[in-house]
Amino acid sequence: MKRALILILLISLVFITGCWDMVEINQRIFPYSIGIDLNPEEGDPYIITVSFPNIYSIGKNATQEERIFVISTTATSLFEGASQLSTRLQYPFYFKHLRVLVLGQELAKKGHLVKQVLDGINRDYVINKKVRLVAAEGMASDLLQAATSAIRQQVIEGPLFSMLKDDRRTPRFTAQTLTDFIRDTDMSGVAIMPRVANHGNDIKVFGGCIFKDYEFIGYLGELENMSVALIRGKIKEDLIDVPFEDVNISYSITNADANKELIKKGNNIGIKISVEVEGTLKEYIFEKETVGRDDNLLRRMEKAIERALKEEIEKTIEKLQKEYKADVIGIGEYIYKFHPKIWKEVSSDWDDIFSEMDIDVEVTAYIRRRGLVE
Amino acid sequence: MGEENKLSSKQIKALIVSSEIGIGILTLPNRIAITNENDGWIPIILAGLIIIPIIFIMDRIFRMYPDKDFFDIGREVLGKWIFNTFLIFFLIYFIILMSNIMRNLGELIKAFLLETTPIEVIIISFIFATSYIARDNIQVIGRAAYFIYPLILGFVIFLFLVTLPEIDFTNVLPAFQSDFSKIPKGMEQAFFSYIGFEILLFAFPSAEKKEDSLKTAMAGQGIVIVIYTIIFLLTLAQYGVHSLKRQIFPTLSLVKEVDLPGFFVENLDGLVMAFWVLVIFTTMACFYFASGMVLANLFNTRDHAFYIVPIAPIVYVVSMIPRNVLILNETLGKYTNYLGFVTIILMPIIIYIVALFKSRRQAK
Repeated sequence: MKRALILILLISLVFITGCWDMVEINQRIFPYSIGIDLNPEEGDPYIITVSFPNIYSIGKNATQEERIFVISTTATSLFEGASQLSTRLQYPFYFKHLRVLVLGQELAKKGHLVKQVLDGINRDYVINKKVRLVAAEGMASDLLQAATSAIRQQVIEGPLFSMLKDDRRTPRFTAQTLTDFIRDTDMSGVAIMPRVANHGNDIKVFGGCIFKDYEFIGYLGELENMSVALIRGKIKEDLIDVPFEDVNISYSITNADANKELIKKGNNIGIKISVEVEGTLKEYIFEKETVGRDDNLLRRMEKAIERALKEEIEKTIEKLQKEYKADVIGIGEYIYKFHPKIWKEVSSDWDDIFSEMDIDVEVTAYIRRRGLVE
Repeated sequence: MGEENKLSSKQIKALIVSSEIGIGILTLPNRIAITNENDGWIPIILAGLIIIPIIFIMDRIFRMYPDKDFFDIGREVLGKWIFNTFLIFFLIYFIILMSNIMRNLGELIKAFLLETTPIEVIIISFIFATSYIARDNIQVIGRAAYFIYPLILGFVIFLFLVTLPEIDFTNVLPAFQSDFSKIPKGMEQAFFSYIGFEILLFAFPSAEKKEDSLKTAMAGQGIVIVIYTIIFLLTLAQYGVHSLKRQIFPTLSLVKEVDLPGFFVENLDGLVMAFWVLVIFTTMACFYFASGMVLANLFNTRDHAFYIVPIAPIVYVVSMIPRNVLILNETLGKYTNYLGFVTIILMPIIIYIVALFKSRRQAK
């Protein structure tokens, strides 16, 4: 009896140890970018493009040359597309390390389709919600194809993601994660995501695309994006060129801060935005009066920088107010948070109120350092 | 060192923290945000404060009748029949509560960790794992809780530190703008997350230092209030109120947002789930042990261990009844709340009041 029991226990060991449904890591495909396009032809609404690294090309004993594979299909949804594609691949997809989601331009113009895609990704248990969103200028599939052969240092994460990850260098685009995109839309109805384009074998991330209620409505240029970033206080570093007397001076922003203040004039509300930038003088000109002991010159340069920035910001705000009626600079959010009573009155037709509103801009620039020469 | 079979003050604190923190910590911010928006921290704190007088009353009861356990006191004060009816309520409450926890745990583990494992296997193996500890005394559970307790604190501190760099605390604003008439509703929601302090009914009699036990129990309750408030504010600051209303498991989603530059620290949800299973283990052990004790007293048996295994299939069957997660919260979640209100709030109060009257009459 006892022996039989022991025997049963021993045999059961064979069956109950280990994970019977485990998947080895090299038997999974880890896509890092997915592109979604609108299918221009009849039938399924989407074209899903998945780009994933070839793990056999990484490391010292690489056996294969090609580093990235791109594969695409038409589908009725992102996940349906993924399961269709897996019939063409040896291993199943595993989306945990998905980094970049590219929306094609035609798709971006269809708000309800964008909503569907984002809902699927947001609902999924596996996908990391830090996935970066970008909007392609053209087809997302073309962009992903171009990204494979982009003339750049090859990185495991893929060139697109490494470019987006490092948005600290420049505010010419602002990387947008899924969570932040949804939060911005919730707060003010609009959000921006960076715009990407491919020119031949080169890909470029620049400016932004404005999405109103998840529908693409227009572009922001690089400088406009910088203005928006300045107002939102999201700038970490940037370099601008400003005409000063008869030369251009280069000014590198090392720190920026923005404050908003509500001004009530009777029934009208206005906003005063005060932007403060700190930075270093990067380039001036030899032989002119030396910066040296003369604080006055720096003061004058500061004034020039202030003027240039102010002009740029006002131009951007004008465009946002009149052309797009899109409050991407977070004024609604500011009123909602700090003046909730006023927000209750204006929230119902905020877009119109925003486009009519007085927005004053005040820029203060400081040149804290002047480099190595006098 | 104190006696072998007594609960130290630290263990009581650990017991209350780890039995209260369970399923609630994952879903609480979302539910509170739906009812109370940005002011969710008010009902969280209020609901937590309401429990402190109950703890006080429990302690009073045990001081009136030193050296007796909860069942003896109840029978003496309320009489056999009334008290037994309460005990039956108590038992139903424990079983529904355990089923609720088990189903939630099963659904979450299946979704986040073991995608292809059947939920039945997860639930059954978890019930049997807890039944092992539930057969032991409260002291053993106290020691287990003491082991889990630093994990809980560590998790909250860790979450706070890693989310801090990217969080925007202005999202907590605007304050005091929600509809205050909804605060009771929010408190009802928050109350479920504080369920678990009834373990004190079993823990107080075996406390090592009876004088200190009230103080430590309240400290434990205070820690839980602080933890819930921090978690709520963190998730609110990360998501903003609109998105928070949409996140079913905001605490887990918050972990998913962690992306420390330069480290390979990301996608921590699997790790956190594994921690969380340990937390649920002590929560579950407390209720399992308590339901065994209740059954043993209903049938006048000395040893509760005998009843532990028969409870397992009941919990399993009840936990599998709801068709989906929504109905799970609609039915089991609601029943736990109502039954919990009757048993763990009304019963101690009634026992206390009756005991007061009796002792006054005796004094006369």
